[in-house]
Amino acid sequence: MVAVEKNRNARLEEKNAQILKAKKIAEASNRAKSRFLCDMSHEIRTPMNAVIGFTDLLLETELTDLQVEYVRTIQQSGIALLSIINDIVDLSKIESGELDFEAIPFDPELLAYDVCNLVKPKTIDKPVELLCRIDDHLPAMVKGDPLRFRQVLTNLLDNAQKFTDAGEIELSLQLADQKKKGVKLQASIRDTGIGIPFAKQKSIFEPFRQSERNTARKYGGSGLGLSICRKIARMMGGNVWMESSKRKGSTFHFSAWLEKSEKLPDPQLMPVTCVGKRILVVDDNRTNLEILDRILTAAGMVPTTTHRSEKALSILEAALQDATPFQLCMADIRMPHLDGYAVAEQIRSAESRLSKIPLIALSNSPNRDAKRCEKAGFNGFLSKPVRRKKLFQMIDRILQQNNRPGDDTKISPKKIHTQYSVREELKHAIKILLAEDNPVNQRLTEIMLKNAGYKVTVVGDGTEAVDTFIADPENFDLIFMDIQMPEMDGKEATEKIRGKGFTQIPIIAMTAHAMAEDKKLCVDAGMNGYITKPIKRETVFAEIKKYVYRETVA
Amino acid sequence: MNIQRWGKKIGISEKEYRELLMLFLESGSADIALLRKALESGNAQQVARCAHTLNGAAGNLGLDQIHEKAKRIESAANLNSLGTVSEDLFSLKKLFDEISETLEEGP
Repeated sequence: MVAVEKNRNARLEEKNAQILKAKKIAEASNRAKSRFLCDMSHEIRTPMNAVIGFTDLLLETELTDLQVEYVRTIQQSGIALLSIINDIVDLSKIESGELDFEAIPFDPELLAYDVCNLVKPKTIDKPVELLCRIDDHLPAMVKGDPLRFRQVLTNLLDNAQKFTDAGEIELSLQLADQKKKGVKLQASIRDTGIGIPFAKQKSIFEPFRQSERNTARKYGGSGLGLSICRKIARMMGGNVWMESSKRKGSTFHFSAWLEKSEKLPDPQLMPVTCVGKRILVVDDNRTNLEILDRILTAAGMVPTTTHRSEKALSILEAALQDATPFQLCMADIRMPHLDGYAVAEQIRSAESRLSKIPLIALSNSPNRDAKRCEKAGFNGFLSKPVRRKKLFQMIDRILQQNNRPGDDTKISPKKIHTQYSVREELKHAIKILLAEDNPVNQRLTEIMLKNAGYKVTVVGDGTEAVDTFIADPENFDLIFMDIQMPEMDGKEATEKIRGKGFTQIPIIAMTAHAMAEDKKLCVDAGMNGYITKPIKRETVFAEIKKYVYRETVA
Repeated sequence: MNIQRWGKKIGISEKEYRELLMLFLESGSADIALLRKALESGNAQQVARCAHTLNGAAGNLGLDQIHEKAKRIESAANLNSLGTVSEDLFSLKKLFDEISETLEEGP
C-alpha cells in the first residue's frame, strides 16, 4: 500500500515537473512569437514609410484627376496599413513585456485639447459637436508617459467620432483619486453614436474583435485598438471600460495612475481685465453652455448663457436698461434658426450703445469661417472646443483694446483676432539657444527654427553655450544641446548650467545615439528630453511645444 | 539628384538646401582629409570620430548614400578593422564630387 502511494507520488512529481517544463517552453515560444511579430512589423514599417512618402511626392507632380484619385487611394491604404502595423507592434511589445513607459512631466489639459484638435477635422462635415470638459481640480502638471496617455485618448475619441453621425461627443478629464505621490486621472468619452449592444460589450476588448463583423468593412481599423488601450491603461494602474445602450450611444472610461509632478507651471494669473465682467454666451448646445459657464465663473467673470439665439439681442438690451450692461458677447456660429453671423449682424445694427459690444465667434471650422466672421462684425474668433487659456487670452486682449481711450468710437477691429495670430505672436516671443558644433547641422537647425518663426542664437560648443546663457538667462526659453561637442560637451554644459541654479530652463539633447543608456546620461546630467538625429522638423517642433508653450501661454 | 525635391523632403527651400550642401562639402572635405590622415597613421579612434561627424551631417541632409558609407567606416573603425576603409573612403570622395557637380549645374 505504502509502496503504491510512494510510487504514485513520484509519478505525480514527475508529471508536475513535465508540466512546468512544458509551461516554460510554451511561454518562451510565446515570447519568441511576439518578438518575431514585433521585428517583422518593424521591418514592414520602413518600406511602408517609403511608399507613403513617395506617394506624397508623386501627388506634387502633374497628374490627371483620375491619377490623383488613384494615388490618394494608395496613400490612404498605406496609412491604414501602417496604423494596423503600429497596433501589432504595440500589442506584441505588450505581450513580450517590452513596452517602456516614460516618466516626464506633462500638462494633461493641454494633451486633452491636442487630442480634440487631432480628431476634430473628421467631425467637421457632420452635425456633431465636439466638447471638452476639464475638471477644475485637474493638476496642471503630472508625470508619466504623455505619448501612451495620448494614444489611449486618441483611440477612444477617434472611435467615438467614427461611430457618431449626429449629436455630440464629449471628452471630460477629471481627477479621480489621489495619494501622497500619485494622482489618478479619469477620462470619459461620451458619444451619441450607434451604441454597442449589451451582448457585445465584453468581446470588443478582445484583440481582433469588433462589435459586428461588417464593422471593419464600414469603419476600418484593425480591431486591436481597444484591447491595446485596455492593456496600456492597466499597465498604468488603471483600466478602460464602457457603458452603452443601443440607442443612446456609448461612454468609454479610461483611468490611469500618474505621478505628481514636482515641476510646477508658472502661476496662472488671471488677467485683471476679466474679473467681474458680464459676458453673454450664446450657443444651441447646452453641454457647451454649461462648460463655458463653469470656466468663466471660475475665472471670476459673470456669465449669462442662452441656447436661444433669437433672444440674444433682447437679453443685451434688458441688461443695458437695468444699468448692468454686458461687456462682451460670445456666439456659436452654427446654430439653428438664427446663426452666429445673424446674431452679430443684429447686434451691430442695434442702437449705438449696444452695437459696440465686443463679439467673439465660436466656430467648428475656423479656416472656413474666419472671413465671414470678420464681415459680420466679430472682433475675435475661437475654434471649438475652446481651451481655457486661449479663451482668457482673447477676452483679455479684446477687452483691453476696447478700453483704450479714444478708441471707443471705432469698435470694429482693423484685424480680427484668431487663435492663429495669438499663437504666432507667442512663437516670435520664443527664444532658443542652439549649441551645435557641426556647421551643417547648426545651419540646418537654425533654418528650420527661423523658418518657423522662432528667434535663434547659435553657439558652437559647450563653453560658449554656458557663457551665452548665463550672461542673459532671461533671454532664452529653451536650449537645444548637441551631446558630442569639442572642448565642453553637452552633458558637461548642462551640468554647469544646472549647477548655477538654473533649474527651470528646458534643455533638450540632440544626439545620434538612440540607446536607452544615452537617454539616461542626458537625464542624469539634468536635461529634460532628447531628440535623435537625423533631425526632423516635426520632432523639433513637438519638443518646443511640449516644453515651452505650456509655460509661456499664461 | 533633384535639389529642390531633397530640400522639400526636409522642409526647406531649394536655396537653403543649396547653401547647406555647400557647407557640407566644405566641412565634409575637411573631415575627409582628417580621416585620411588618421587612416594613414592607423588611428582608428580618430577615423571613427571623423566618420561619425560625416554620417551625422549627411543623415540630416538626407544624403543617404554618404550616410551609409560613413556609417560603415565608423562601425569598422570602432571594431579597429581599418582594412575596408580606404575603399569606402574612395567612394565617399566620388559621392562628394557628384554633389559638387550638381551644385555647379546651378538651379
